[in-house]
Amino acid sequence: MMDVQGKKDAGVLTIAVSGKIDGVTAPELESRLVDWLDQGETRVILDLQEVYYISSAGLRVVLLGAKRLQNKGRLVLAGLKPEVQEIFEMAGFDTILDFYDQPGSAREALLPG
Amino acid sequence: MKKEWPAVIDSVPDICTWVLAEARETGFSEREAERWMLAVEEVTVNIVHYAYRDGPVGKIAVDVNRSASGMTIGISDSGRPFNPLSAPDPAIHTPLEKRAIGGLGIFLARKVVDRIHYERRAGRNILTLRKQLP
Repeated sequence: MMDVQGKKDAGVLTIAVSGKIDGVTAPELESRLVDWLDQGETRVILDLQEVYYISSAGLRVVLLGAKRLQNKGRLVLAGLKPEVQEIFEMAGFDTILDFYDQPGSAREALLPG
Repeated sequence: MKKEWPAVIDSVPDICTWVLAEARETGFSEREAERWMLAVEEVTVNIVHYAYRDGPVGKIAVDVNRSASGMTIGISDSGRPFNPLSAPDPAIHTPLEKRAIGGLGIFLARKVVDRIHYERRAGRNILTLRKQLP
């Protein structure tokens, strides 16, 4: 129901998620994300192009990651489908997180220098 | 139609799949049917995590009533008395550092249906969700 793939390039980790991020799958995303953050990743893109559903369990994981990186890096979101973007907006996340249309533009924003 | 599931996390996708199908059948658009699914997921995940925390795992009953004007879903458990609607809304306009992790589930459920109502009756917590067809 959910797949998570991480790819590191020039200091930026892109985490591509596909499927549903719900109460069943969110714990797996959380443990993968926490592992990466524990390993010292500080520039993270969550690529949600292939995510078609997210519930509060998924929002919680995104918030957790963004808070952990707040003073030492950045977590941004890319490629959200309109129906997923809408859920982030309902929760008021549009005012506290950065969203990009494409992972490519998110990468440019996160690249050092 | 009423169905029952054990109050475990693995029941939630089954409940959601059923609700999605019922919403489509009622005539809701795909987007609105997914909102139904979100509301029901939030309520049932809450039951799984909290309702039977102090004792043996009980059941979640889901009662779907379709009509020409919309759909009403009653979701109930026989766990400890708890009104999820009594919690204050999370502060969604605070900056990232002050944002609380969690507490968004029922807030979202409230936003995506027209009406949501709680009652404690005959030893059960009953949440009733209602959404009209546009």
